[in-house]
Amino acid sequence: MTKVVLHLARNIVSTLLEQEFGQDQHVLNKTAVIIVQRIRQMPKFLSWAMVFLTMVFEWSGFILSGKRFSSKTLSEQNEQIERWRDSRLSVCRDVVQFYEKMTVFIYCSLMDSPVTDRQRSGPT
Amino acid sequence: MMPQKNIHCEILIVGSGPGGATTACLLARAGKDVLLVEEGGHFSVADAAAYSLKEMDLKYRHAGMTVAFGKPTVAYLEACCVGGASEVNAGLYHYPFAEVLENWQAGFQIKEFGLRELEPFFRDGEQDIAVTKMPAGVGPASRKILEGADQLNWKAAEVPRCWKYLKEPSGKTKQVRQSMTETMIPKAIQAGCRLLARTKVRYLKLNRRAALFAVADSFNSDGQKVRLKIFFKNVFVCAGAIQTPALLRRSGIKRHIGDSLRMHPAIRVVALFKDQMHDNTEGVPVVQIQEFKPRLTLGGSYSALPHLALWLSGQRDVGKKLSLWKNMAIFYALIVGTGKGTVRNIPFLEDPWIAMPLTEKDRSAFGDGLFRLGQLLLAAGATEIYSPIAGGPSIKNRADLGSLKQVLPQSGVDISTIHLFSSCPMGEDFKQCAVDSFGKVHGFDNVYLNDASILSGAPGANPQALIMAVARRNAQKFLENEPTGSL
Repeated sequence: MTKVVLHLARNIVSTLLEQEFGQDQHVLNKTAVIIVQRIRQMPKFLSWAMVFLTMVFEWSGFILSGKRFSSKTLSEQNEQIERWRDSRLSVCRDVVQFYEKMTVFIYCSLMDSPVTDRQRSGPT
Repeated sequence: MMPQKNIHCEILIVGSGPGGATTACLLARAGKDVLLVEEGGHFSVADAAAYSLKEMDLKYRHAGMTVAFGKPTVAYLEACCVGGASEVNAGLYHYPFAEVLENWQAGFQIKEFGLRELEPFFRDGEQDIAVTKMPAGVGPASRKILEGADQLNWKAAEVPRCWKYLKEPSGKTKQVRQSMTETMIPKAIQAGCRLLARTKVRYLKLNRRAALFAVADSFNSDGQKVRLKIFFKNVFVCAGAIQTPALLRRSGIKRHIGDSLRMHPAIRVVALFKDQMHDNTEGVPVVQIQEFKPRLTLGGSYSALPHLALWLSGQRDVGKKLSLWKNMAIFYALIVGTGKGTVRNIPFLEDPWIAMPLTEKDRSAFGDGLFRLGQLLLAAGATEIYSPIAGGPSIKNRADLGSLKQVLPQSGVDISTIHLFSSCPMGEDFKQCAVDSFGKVHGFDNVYLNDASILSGAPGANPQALIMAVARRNAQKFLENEPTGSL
């Protein structure tokens, strides 16, 4: 789960934020850990649904191109995110929107915090 | 085997937010043996920066990851800590509108509930917490609201807030949030109230017309879980508009419980200005447009970089836009929702399922609200307003405003709220009310509710002042009906 979320977060940061904010690998790793932690903190029925949809997202790439999302190149990953973002199924759009929101909020929160806070090993 | 322990008290209060803390303080002052239990932890205001990730972790239920299901879904926030919502909200202290109270009084047959009858309770409350306007003037986002209102000839005003401003020897002014952990809870403890944090009441054991004891799980300082049986003479459930009905329904009390949840749903936009919008003076802007209240409130939100990023995340070139973040601020249009939501427990799961339909009327009201918000911000000098609707065009001039005035779509839009009410409404009308005019649950002799859940609807204004005044009024009525004790 963390691996898929890390790949998603990396792609979202590189597409939406990298040009202006750069890509700090440590902050990115921490962002992924916090997103997974947040998913686990959700009410159980929401948490299970998010884990299930994230796994569907990961494996849907395998069905279409023989590669799971986390095994794809950055541009292939970007294509898959775009497909889900423009999907006719609202649940697919919602999954991408959820990860975009969580990633930009947490990444910017960490980038905006003092460097010492950013470098703490665990989540906040 | 989980360790077990019995506790005895005269009055058990479940939940330590503005309703529970006020009730605990007044009853303890009257000499009652009060036990206040809170599911969340006990933190000080200084333990986490306002609106930070850490605050979400420490003080929000599920770290803020909660939604009410409907079309569109509504993200809602519930505090889960000693002091409840007062620890995380803006602390805006707004008197209710007389006509709203009159409507509730007539519609639900509530006794002694006019603004004139409530006014003494507001005044008494203001002696317990500091309610002030900003001494050195409002911040940039508030000034923009005032400028826009001036241009459009709309009424706008600074809302006082529960905040204290202390002059430090260096000459700087220190701002201290007057939350429940800073005010009512220390006063309650001083008056003899016992506080038990990290304790979740599972259910109330009932016997016909009375609750006999509460079964709770408490975590001690070693993190060990202890099963408590709490015996009491009377119980006040003050756990908020979601957790109060959830607890009552788990206990088997279901008549008009969790059937009529109301809220203030809000939609947000990010606006870009030529001027700097950040000077760390006020946090959440304190000025609101009064012109369309109570049906519509326009105001500003906390606008740090991460929050701007969150609300801009639907935009394709969010990074480029954020390079100008110091010139941006977030503003909202908040409506009085007309849909009735439900709170239902799910077997074998901890958390209730919240359904909240936004009606066609609500989505239309949002269209109107966004249009007026756009008018306001353009009049205030905004050079660009980013649409909150996925794929929606940004607004640069009056001609673009038409794109906002539409019935809001059922998806692709972010609606959120922190104001939830009315899941167990009060009044003498047995056909729709869960509790009587003073919070006693219909059909029970010793079960009372005293929080946002008993309000009859959404008041159309920040609710903390009203919740505290109603809690004070009901606590006083309880004491009048008890053989001993007075305020």
